[in-house]
Amino acid sequence: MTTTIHLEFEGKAARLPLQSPKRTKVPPAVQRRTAAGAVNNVRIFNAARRVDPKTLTPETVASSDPELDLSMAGTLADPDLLSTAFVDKAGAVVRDFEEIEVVLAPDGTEKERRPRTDRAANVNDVRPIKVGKFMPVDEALTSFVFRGVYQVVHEDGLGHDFLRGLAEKLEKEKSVAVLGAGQKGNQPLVLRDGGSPYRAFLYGEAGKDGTYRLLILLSNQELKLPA
Amino acid sequence: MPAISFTLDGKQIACELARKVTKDDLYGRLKKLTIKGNEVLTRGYLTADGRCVPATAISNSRLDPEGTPVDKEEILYDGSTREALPSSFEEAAPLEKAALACLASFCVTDVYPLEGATLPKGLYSTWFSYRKSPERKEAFVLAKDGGTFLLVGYAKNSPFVGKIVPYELFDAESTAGGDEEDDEMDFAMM
Repeated sequence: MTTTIHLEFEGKAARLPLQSPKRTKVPPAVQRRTAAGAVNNVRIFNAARRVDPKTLTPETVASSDPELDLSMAGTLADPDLLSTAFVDKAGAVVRDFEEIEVVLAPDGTEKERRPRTDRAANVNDVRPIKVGKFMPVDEALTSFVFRGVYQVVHEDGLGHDFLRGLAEKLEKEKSVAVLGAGQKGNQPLVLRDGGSPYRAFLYGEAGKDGTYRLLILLSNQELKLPA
Repeated sequence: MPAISFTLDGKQIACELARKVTKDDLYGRLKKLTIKGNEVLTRGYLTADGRCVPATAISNSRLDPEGTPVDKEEILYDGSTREALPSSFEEAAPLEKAALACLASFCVTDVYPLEGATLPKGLYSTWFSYRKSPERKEAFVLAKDGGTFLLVGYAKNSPFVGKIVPYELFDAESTAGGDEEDDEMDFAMM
């Protein structure tokens, strides 16, 4: 399945396919087996029971096993027959709960609490992804950690000319272009609904006979040591 | 910090592998909580017979076809067994100079600072394996102002395209975002 990117450069916008290039080395297919046959990964009920350690006394632990519930231990936990629930300290299911996110600083201190938001994909939005300012390619490649690489390709002759021209410009200026979403073109890219936001850079090379290579490099980290 | 060494043009480069640097170390992180009032709720499961069990009551296990938990198993790579190769701490990996452009098609999964590495600035291709394993990961060592870093990950084969796009060179089933990590961060912090 291909994702489409709505890309704008120098006043022209186009919707173009975004492809995932294959790995250069295909990871080997791993199989696990015993003399009896192939090994299967399964989920099973262990004997853990919800207990509040503060309520346990040494005598209770010595005389019984309150932390164990052996009634289902060892049976298979079929994911299709389980429903997620949220429970309080007393073990009761809570129905009216609130989902929040807590922003933690690198040292673990809490900075902010806010309602949880679900991000929507923004690469094929009404507002196109803007090709922003250029940055020297060497500086970009050595300053950021790139987590993902995608390739923009064309579907027709117009798309080819648009992308080839962009790749030529980037190569000539030895630069990558910063990509941005939103009205001002300064927001990170989200490739799929509920996905993580990434800073994106457009890397381009123009080859022989009208060929080109335009890559979108996704980063969520600078390449530096923690303070 | 564990000692690690590489070889460059026949010379040994000894250094120490520092703790992995993640985006959480640089910018902090987002923690998702489910709450009622001031109480943080824990995740659990309702079973088909109406019981409520904590998430910790379910474990992953490996069973053979007869349903017996597996103790010892044989691992096949592409249908055959392979010997485990020494780790990066037991064998010096060779460094080869590489063009900086190689980083444009390299997806980084782990970043380790290399302390005490005396390398000329530039990019070097190598391999990395934290443990003994039949498979070694692709890696680059990048020496730059501000430190020397070991970048572990995998390379992608991004082709030049002409008038006709060679779709067979792309992952047919992969959706964009498939390489993404699923962990969250507050992007305003970057």
